[in-house]
Amino acid sequence: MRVRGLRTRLGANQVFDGVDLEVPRGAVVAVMGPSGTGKTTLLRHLTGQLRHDHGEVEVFGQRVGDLRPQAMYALRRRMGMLFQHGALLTDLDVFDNVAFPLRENTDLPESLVRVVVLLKLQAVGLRGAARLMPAELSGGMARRVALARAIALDPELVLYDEPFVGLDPIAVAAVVELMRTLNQTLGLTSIVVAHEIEHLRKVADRLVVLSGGRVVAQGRFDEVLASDSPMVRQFLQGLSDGPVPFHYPAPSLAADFGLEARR
Amino acid sequence: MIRTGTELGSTLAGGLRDLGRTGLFLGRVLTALPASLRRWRAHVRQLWFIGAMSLTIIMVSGLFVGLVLGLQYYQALNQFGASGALGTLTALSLYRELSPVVAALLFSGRAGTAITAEIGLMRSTQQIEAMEMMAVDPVRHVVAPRFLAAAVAMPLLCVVFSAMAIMGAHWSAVLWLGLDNGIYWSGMVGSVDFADDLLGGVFKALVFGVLIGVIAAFQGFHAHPTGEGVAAATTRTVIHSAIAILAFDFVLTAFLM
Repeated sequence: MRVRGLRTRLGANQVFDGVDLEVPRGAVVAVMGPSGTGKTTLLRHLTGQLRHDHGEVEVFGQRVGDLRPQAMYALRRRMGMLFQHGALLTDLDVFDNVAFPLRENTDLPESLVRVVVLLKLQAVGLRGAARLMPAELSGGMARRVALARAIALDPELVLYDEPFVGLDPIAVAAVVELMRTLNQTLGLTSIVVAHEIEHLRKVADRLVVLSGGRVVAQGRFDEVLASDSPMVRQFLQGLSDGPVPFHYPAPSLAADFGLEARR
Repeated sequence: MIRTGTELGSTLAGGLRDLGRTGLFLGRVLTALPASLRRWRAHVRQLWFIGAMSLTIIMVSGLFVGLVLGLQYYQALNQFGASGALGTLTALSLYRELSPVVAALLFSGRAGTAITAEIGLMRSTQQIEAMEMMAVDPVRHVVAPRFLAAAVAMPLLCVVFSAMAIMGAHWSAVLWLGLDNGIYWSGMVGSVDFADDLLGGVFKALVFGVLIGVIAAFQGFHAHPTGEGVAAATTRTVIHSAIAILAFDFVLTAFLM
């Protein structure tokens, strides 16, 4: 997977201003950056859900921007995506949710679908929850079901959008453990968008830091952590002020409080 | 002055753009429809939720509309000693005009809003996006069954509405005000043309069903993925449906006359 010179403008907002990055096959890449720098937008470019203005986005050697809908769908069958809040289909139970991509995209007989679904659910430890509805699941369980669904078609690339947000420590540990097992056993390429350095450290071997529409650092996880770029330092150490300002751009204090010298 | 003009113009342009986009969306839905028929269970389910669950409101409203028609027509016609025409008049006004239009307006409020809210919520909880990511066309999977259910249910509900209203009018005019039972029914049988009057009205209802289905699904599908966004989309569904129903009613009446 490769991105070159990516530029995107959404409304008045220049989200990406020349992003270059590369994800080697089999790697687990963490993408970090201040909120609003377009990490989720980057994922949407990779899946072709959002068109980019300039540059090249290449996944499995195919340029995503040039694909026709059919080819795009074929590409997406080789990817799995874990959404921020799971995005389970609320009118289907856990079993049918995991079975959904299989039934829609393959001609497997129902008996085989059942085997695959139960295997995937077993992998995330929720085989016993197969007949629960999404509304009956806790946040952590929903995330695990969504993961089972994301890997139902045995994808080569899995995208994780904020997989740890809103989970208690036990659920986080479970998700981290799952991600690691999946990558080691299936050799998946993974891209993880998240903020939690201590969790990412356990799963990712590469780290990309995005800020202000550019990649400010990328490389081996430890190397980037050890980098002395002020931007990276501020972000990784969690300093509220620095190259990323604490204040949103505003008129001067004096002007806002009416303290400017009268003319 | 210029500002008002600009605002008016941009509202108008926005409305026209929505109209065009809805038309294109209809094309998308119709293209996806044949493939979606393979999953007939989803269609049956939606027909149940959208059609059968609207029966109560349609039946009760139909009964009351009929009761009122019986009273009003009897009073008006009796002045000219023409109360014998009550059956004819009731049946014709119901079949040709009242049943399709009133049933459609009720249907857009009952089922159209439900379609918009449901699809809008699926959009805001990323379920639509998740489908796209699983290489499943959400128009085929989510929109097509609801659209077809609306188009199929509407003519049937229109017929049910007419039946209930005729019973209502019978109740108030014959049982209550004392119009002769035979005159009521024979007037109805004698002067209603099956193809022109009844089928014409059912055809109108079919068109309204298609309109409500596509407007509701379009609004839900393109709702802003927030609480306010879904609420605004639901409101727009009711307004756009009502205007579309009345405007198309005029056009269809002009052509069917």
